[in-house]
Amino acid sequence: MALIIFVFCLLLPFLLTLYQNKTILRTIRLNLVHLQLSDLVIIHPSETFNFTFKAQDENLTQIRIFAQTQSSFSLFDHYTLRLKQISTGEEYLTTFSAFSLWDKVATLKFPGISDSQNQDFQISIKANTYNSGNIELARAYQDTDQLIFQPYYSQPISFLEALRIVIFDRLSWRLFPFLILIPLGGYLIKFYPISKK
Amino acid sequence: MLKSIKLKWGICFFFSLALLWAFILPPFQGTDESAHFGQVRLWSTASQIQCRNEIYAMAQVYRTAALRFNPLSTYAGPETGGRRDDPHFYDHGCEHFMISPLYYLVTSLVLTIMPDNLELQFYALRILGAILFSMAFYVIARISTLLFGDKKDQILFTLLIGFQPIFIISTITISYDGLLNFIFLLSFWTATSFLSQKGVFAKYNRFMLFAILLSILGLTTKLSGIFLPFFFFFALIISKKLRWSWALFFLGGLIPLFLWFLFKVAHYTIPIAGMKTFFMETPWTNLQVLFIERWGHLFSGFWGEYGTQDGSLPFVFLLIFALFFIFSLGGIMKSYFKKTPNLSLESYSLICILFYEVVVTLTNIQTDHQSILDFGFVQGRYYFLLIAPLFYLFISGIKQWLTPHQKNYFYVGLIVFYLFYHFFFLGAIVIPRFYL
Repeated sequence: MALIIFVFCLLLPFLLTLYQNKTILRTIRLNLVHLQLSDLVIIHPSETFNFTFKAQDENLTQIRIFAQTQSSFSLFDHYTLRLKQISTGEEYLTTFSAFSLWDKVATLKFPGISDSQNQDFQISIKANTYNSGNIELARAYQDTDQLIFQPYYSQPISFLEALRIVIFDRLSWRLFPFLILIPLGGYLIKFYPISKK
Repeated sequence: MLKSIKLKWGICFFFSLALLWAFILPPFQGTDESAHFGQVRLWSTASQIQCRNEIYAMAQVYRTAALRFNPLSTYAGPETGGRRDDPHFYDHGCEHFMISPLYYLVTSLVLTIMPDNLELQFYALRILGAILFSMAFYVIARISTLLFGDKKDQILFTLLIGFQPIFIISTITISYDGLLNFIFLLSFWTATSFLSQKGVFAKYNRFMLFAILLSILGLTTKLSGIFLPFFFFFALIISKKLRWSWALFFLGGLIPLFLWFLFKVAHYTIPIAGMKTFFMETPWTNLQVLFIERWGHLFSGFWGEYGTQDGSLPFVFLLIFALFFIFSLGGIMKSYFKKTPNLSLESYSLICILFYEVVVTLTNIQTDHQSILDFGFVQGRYYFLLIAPLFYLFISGIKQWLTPHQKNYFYVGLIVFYLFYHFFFLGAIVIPRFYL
C-alpha cells in the first residue's frame, strides 16, 4: 500500500500534466508567425541530405537553422551542416556531434540576405556516422526578420505517443536515477514506525 | 533517527533523488549557474579570454536547447520574445573576482583531474552537488536525533528538508550556495549538540574549535557566512558557558570580519544608499513593502521558484504551507507559555532566525521598490541557510496541538502531501517547462 502511495506521488503529477498538455507538443516553442514542417530526415552513414527552398518573405534579414540528432551513441560521430545561397554560392557550414547524450542543438546562421523574395537556398546535411541517424528539421518564420529551421516533433497522436516521446526521446537517460528511486523508496517505507494503537 | 543500515539506504535514496534533479534540470537553469561555472573554469585552467569564449559558446548551445523546450528560459528573456541572440548578454562569470574562493577552489581542483570537455565537467560538478546533498542528508539525520526523542518527529524533520525541491536545486546546481547551506547545517549540528550536551560536539573545547573552523569555512565560501560567528555566539550565551577569554577572542576576531563585511556592503551599496530616502516614504508604504510584499515573494520563492524566473508553484500549495506555518507558529507560542522542555533549542533556533531576519530586513531598506523585487534579499533560497532551525520550529509548533494518536495520522498525511508536492514540482512544473 505504502509503495502504491509512493509511486502515486511520484508519477501522478507528471502523467496528469502530460495528459492535459499533450496538445502542446503540436505547437511550436518560439513566438512564430508561420510554421511549415519539413519531414523527419533519416540519413544513412556517409549520405548527404539536400533540401532546397526559397526565402519567400520580403524583409527577411537572416536565416537560422536548428538541427538535432537523437540516435548516435558514438562520441566520434558527427554531422556537417551547410547553408548555401545558390545564386551567389556563398555558404556557411558547421559540424555538430551526433552523440545523443549531450542533447545539443546545432545552429547555423546566414546573415545579411538581400532581395530575400527571389533567393534560393540549399541546406545540406552530411552524416559522418557509423549508423543511420534521425535529423529533425522544422521551418518557421519568426516575427518579421528571420526564417528559422527548428527541430520539432510533428504530430503526436495520442497520450501514449506523447508519453513515449517525452520519456524515451526527451528525458531518456536523465531518468536513470528514477529507476533506483522506486525500489529504494519501497524498501525504506517499510521502516516507517506506524503506531498500532 | 535511523539504524545505520537504514541510514545508508536513505543516503543512497537521496543521492539518487539529487542525481535525478541534476540530470533533469537543463544546464544553466540554476541561479547564475553559467557565471559560477565560468568562475570555476577560470580558477581551474582557462585564461580570462579563453574562459569567456568557452562559456559564451556553451551558453549559446544550451540557450538554443533551452529555447527549443522553453521560450521563456533564462537565455531568452520574455521581454525579447525569445529572440535574444547576443551571447554577450550572458553573465559568464569570467570577469568576476570573488573574495570568497572556497567553492571555486574545491571544484576547480576536481576539474583538474577531468578531461577537458565542458559538458563532462559541467555534469561532474552537478554530480558533486548530488554528493554534497547526500552528505547534507546525513547531517540532517544526525541533527534530528539531537532535536527529537520520537522517531516520527525525526523522520518528518529529515523528509521535510530532504524533499524540499528548491533546496535540492540550490544544492545540485553549480553555485556556492549549496556548499554554504551545507556549512550552515554542520554549524547547526555543532550548536545543537553543544546545547543538548549530546553527541560529538558536546564538549566545550571541541565546540569552540569547530565554531571557529566552520566560521572561517563559511566566510571563505560566501559573504553570508558572516552570520556564523554570531550564531555560535548565541549558542554560547544560551548555554550559559560563555567564558570571557573566549568571548574576547571571538569579538576580536569579529572586528576584521565586520570591517570586511562593511567594505563588501559599501561595494554593493545596498543598505546604506537607500537608507536616507527610505524614511521619506510613508511608514505604511515601507511596512507594506518590507513585511507584506517581501514576505510574500520570500515565501513563494522558498517553496516554489528556482533559477531566476522559471517555474511557479500553484497558489493552493502556498496557501496550504502558509496555514501549516500559522498553525505551527501558534504552537510555538503555546509552548513558551507552557514552558515545555527543550526550550533552549527552540530559543536558540528562534534567536538565529530573528537575528537573520532583522539583518535581512535592514538590508532591504531601499526606496526603489522595483530594485527590491529585482535585486534585494527577497529570494527564498537565502533562507535555506536556516532550513534546519526553521523546520525544527515548524515541527515543534505543530506537535503542541496534537495528541500522540492524532500525530500518527497527521504526520502520515503531511508526508504524503509533501511527497506529492515534491513530485508535483518535478513532474508538473520542471519537466513541462523543458520537455513537453
